[in-house]
Amino acid sequence: MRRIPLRYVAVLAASLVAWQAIAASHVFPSFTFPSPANTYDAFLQTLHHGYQGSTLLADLAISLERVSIAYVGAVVIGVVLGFAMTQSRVVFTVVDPYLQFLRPIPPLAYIPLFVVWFGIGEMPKVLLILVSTVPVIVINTINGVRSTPNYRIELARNLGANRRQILIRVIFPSSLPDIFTGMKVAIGVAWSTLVAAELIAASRGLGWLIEQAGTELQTGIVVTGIIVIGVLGYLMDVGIRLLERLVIPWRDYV
Amino acid sequence: MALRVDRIFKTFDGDDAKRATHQVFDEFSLDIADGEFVAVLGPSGCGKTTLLRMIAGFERPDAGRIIFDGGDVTGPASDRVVVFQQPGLFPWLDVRHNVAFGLQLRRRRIDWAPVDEILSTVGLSDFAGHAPYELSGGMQQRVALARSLVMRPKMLLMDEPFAALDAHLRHAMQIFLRELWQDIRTTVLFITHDVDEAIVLAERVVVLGSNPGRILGELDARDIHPSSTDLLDNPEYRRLRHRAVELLGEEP
Repeated sequence: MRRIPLRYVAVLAASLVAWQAIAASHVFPSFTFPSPANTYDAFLQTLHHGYQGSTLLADLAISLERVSIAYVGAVVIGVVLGFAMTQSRVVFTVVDPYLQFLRPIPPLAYIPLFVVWFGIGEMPKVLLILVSTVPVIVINTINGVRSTPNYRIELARNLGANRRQILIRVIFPSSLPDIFTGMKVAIGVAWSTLVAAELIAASRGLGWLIEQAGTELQTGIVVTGIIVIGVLGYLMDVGIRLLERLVIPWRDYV
Repeated sequence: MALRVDRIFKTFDGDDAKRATHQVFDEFSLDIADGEFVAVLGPSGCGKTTLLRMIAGFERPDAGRIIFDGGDVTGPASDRVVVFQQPGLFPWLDVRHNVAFGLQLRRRRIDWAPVDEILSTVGLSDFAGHAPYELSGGMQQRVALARSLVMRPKMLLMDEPFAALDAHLRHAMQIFLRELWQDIRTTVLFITHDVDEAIVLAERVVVLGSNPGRILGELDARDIHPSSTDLLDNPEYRRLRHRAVELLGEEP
């Protein structure tokens, strides 16, 4: 991985100084606007002793688990569904209206239904993330299939490829750049949905931590939770980019 | 006879009111003998690419027959392989696997000897493990040629394959192709709008006119080779060149 450029370090340091300066000026009461030092204390506190019976690492682990399961599931389902929609008119006609209808609805709106249907366990949380992530993958997969250059398909046909061989050996690899674009967008969607998902009667998780600490005016913990989600989201994004460079190193050359 | 194009008709429907239906071929015929190297020379829009696509089987004539190797052409097949202007290599495969692509469609485990042999023929043995985008345009086009030749096609259909290359590289590729053809003697149909390219490469040059596509004349160019030096001092070359330009100039 490349080194982080100095200017980003400088911006980060300047933000910390400004944050500390505003907190130290006591314009806002310290329980509404925690200083970096307060936040760091809250961070250590939740890390070592936990908050309401759950440590930061446990919250992190359960949230990561929910996001990962939902995300991997969404990628698999999304790619398969996307391909099915491009290969079968029937599948497309059946699925597309729902896709277009569901896409603009914020995932929060499903929560009451999901609780009624699936209760308050892990299932509704994972499903909520999955449902909000699948369309992103499907749409990008369809894009990828449709943007396969015609000359590649003609070349393969010319060399004797049948329909199945064209799909697997030409169209699938050709659509990978778009699938990865979808995966990068989807990881952001998955993390944003997580907080909503953990509003569903959760007793652990980063979303729950933020929500719970907020109701008790523990703003240091709230900021801690936000930063941890931000860092995790960033790391997963970096991970997907590394995977992308490994799987499709040719992306920028075509 | 390797190929017989027998009184074909082909029209393209206009997309809208402005573009009327366009008659590309109106009872067009062309015969190509086994092992012959024929260049079809014509201005853009004369239908030469459409002709090649119909012979390849990507498109069908509206009427008339295209008979290849004794049978009607009904679709693309690996006995007539096209080399396009763009090499169109698969970037996710290395050079060796690009060349083997057609063979691997037939069976999972292939004999790699012909692949490596053809790579050596096109002078790319040292680049077998490279990605296509690590190669120059000329090298990529040689990989595309190798990918076609490894199928042992009865006919090579080349659609301005060197048009995207710079002049120096194009000349080198012309010499390479002509020498290769002298070794393997596959039937070649080579489409070009470049008068010099048609004359130096082919044994027979078919000059095409447009609206509808028709043969304006044919030239016997078997004595002119791309590797000949001082072409401009060669009276035969100058005569052929003059004749080709004259034929093309008769276009309204």
